[in-house]
Amino acid sequence: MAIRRFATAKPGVKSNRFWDQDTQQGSIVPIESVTISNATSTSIGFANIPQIYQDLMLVITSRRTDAVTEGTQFLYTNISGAVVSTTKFYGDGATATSSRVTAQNAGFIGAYPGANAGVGIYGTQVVHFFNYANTNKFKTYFCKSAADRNGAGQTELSVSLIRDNGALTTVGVSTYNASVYYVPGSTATLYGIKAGS
Amino acid sequence: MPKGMQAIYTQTITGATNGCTFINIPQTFTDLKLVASVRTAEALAMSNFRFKVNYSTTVDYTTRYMSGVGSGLASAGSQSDDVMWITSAPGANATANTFGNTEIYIPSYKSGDWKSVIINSVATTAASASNQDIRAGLIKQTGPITMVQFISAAGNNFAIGSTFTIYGIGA
Repeated sequence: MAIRRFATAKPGVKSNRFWDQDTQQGSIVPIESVTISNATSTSIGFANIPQIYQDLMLVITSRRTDAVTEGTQFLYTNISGAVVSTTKFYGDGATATSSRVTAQNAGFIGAYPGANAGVGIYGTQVVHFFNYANTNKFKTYFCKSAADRNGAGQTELSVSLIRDNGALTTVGVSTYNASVYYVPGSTATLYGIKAGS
Repeated sequence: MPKGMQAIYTQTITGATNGCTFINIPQTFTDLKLVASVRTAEALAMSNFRFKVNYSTTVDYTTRYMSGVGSGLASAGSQSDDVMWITSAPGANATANTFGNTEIYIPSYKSGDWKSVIINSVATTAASASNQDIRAGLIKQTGPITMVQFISAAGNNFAIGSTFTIYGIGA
């Protein structure tokens, strides 16, 4: 394996190289990644999730097709019914606000740009699901969301609770609108996070 | 071979310097995560630092953020910066041995679009100065990110013991 420099030599800085450019390391394991290639997808999701990890991490980079500057990113799971509550705080560059919704069919996890936003701007959400395979606890997930639109947009932190003990076997995001689609190039990747052993 | 999350490189400040640079970032992952534990030599209780990518010198960075200092919550933004600001770094007037911690998540760092990033930073100095900050950042560059540079508060060095680690995350 060729040795490769990852830092500029500089007095006063000590460097440690970890990666051997080959070996899989760490506790975060990729499960599946999806990139939207058509203009007819109203959701991006993952089913049959292995029940072998402690937590899950879902990373979404997306944009929507309808003529809005931004819209709400909705998160769904295999657990149906109006059992999801979300508490969030968000800032738009001028005002910071907190709000809550309860008894919803999906989680509200942030915003992502629409067709009226500048070309090439996508929104990002990183969702952490805790104890997703447990069958005797309600499920909690936490989301950090970024949707800066070049001088507008918002950032958001949210936590959602699913009032159901069932294990999460499916997770995904949806426009929840049959005529609103994810723009081709939108991606979602699901990771499993191992517990200590 | 699936990659998962791998620590690529760590740098620790051991002397007088106001910068820390990662180059030749591997183009084999999907996302990047950078973690910084930082204190600066600026004569303030709460200082700041910055980062930029790909040797850029132009106004390529916009941000929307929320911050809390222990009372109240504020939101602001900017759209004409040549660096991305990070606000949670104790300065020389902070309680000794306190460092702020920052996580930067850059999804799709190789894409041909502008990069939408999440920055989360926290610092409490065991005294009156504390800060928590989450920001949405937009890096208005369409090229892949191959270099990241951290820069301390203007005219000041990073404190010895500050660390910077870059992780690759990939499917």
